Formats: sequence, C-alpha cells, structure tokens
Amino acid sequence: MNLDHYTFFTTDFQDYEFYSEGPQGRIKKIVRYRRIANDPVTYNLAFGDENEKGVVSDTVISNNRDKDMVLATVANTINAFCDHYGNHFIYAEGSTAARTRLYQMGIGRLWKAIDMDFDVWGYKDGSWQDFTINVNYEAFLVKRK
Amino acid sequence: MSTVKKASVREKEYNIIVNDKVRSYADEPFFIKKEEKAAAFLRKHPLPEHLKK
Repeated sequence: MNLDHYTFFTTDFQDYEFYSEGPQGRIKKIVRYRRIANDPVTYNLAFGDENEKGVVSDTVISNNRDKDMVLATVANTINAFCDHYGNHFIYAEGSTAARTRLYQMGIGRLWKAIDMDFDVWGYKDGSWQDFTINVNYEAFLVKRK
Repeated sequence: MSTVKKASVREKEYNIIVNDKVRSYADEPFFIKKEEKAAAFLRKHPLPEHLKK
C-alpha cells in the first residue's frame, strides 16, 4: 500500500504501536487484533490512544492533523497482521456512530489505495454490503485480496 | 536488551520494526470491552454465506 504512514512496532504481530506527530505533540497509538469468530475466522481490529499512565482510550479527539497518515498506518498493520496470520476477515467499528462515520470518511478518502489491496464491506440496514464511498455504516469488515 | 528482527521482503513494503518492546494488551479493559462488543455484533449480524466462500 503506497501511502505515507508512520513506522510501527510489534512483538507478536497482534499488538502494534506507533506515534502520531503533530500540533498536539506525540501521541502513542495502539492497534490490537484478536480472534472473535471461527466460522469464518474473523479478527477484531481495535484502535486507541495510550496515555502516559498506560491507559488506552478512544474517546479523546487528538486533532493532530494527521488522520490520513494514522489511517494509512492502521491499514498497513492489517498487511503485517495478514502476512503472519493469513488473510482472514477483520472487523472494525468506532466507539460511537460519529467515530464510525470518521472511519468511513477516512476509508473514502483513501479508497483508491485501499481498494487495490482490500475487499471492504459495511453493515447497513440489516445487511453486509460492498463498501461505497459516502455511505454511513454501523461497522466494517475487511479482507485482504 | 531488546532484539530487532530484520524485515522480510514483504515487510519492506511498509515501515515495521519487530522487537520485544511492545507489550501485550490482552488484559487491557479497553480492548476486552471492544472485543466483547464486536463478537456480540457478529453473532447478531453474521456474514452472509456468499462472503464466507
């Protein structure tokens, strides 16, 4: 995926960390994958900021003016994860409808690059549908092509 | 002392550093809550059969 992104770190390829850098400073971001279903095998992608006390949260809006770079970094952790655990379904949703919409808008902005590497579906009106730009979804599923 | 693994060919496509410094977040309440919520959503709204193939 040819998008600018931050260097990210991992030990077990399930937990990843990287640092957002911008006007609000250096913010530690954590991405974690965990299997949540077996038929088909599906992993949850969860993402949040870790504060100096080691507590992770996604309720703070960091305003670090690097949201596309952050999203591209998360997308690249999917590649790293799939390289080690296989091309399984990956589920993601925001903590609130507003945050899920932010993710949807971000995917839309980077869609050209994302669509080259991943199949993406969104849940809306009672069904899983192919991802379409500018449509609001409740949750997302991603699978590397 | 931490160890750093050299990136494989594929890993060179993205900027990853593999070391022994990233802790496990398996017991982090934030993630546990997220995973429980996600699993419940998928149980309620499973993937259609055509996507499973």
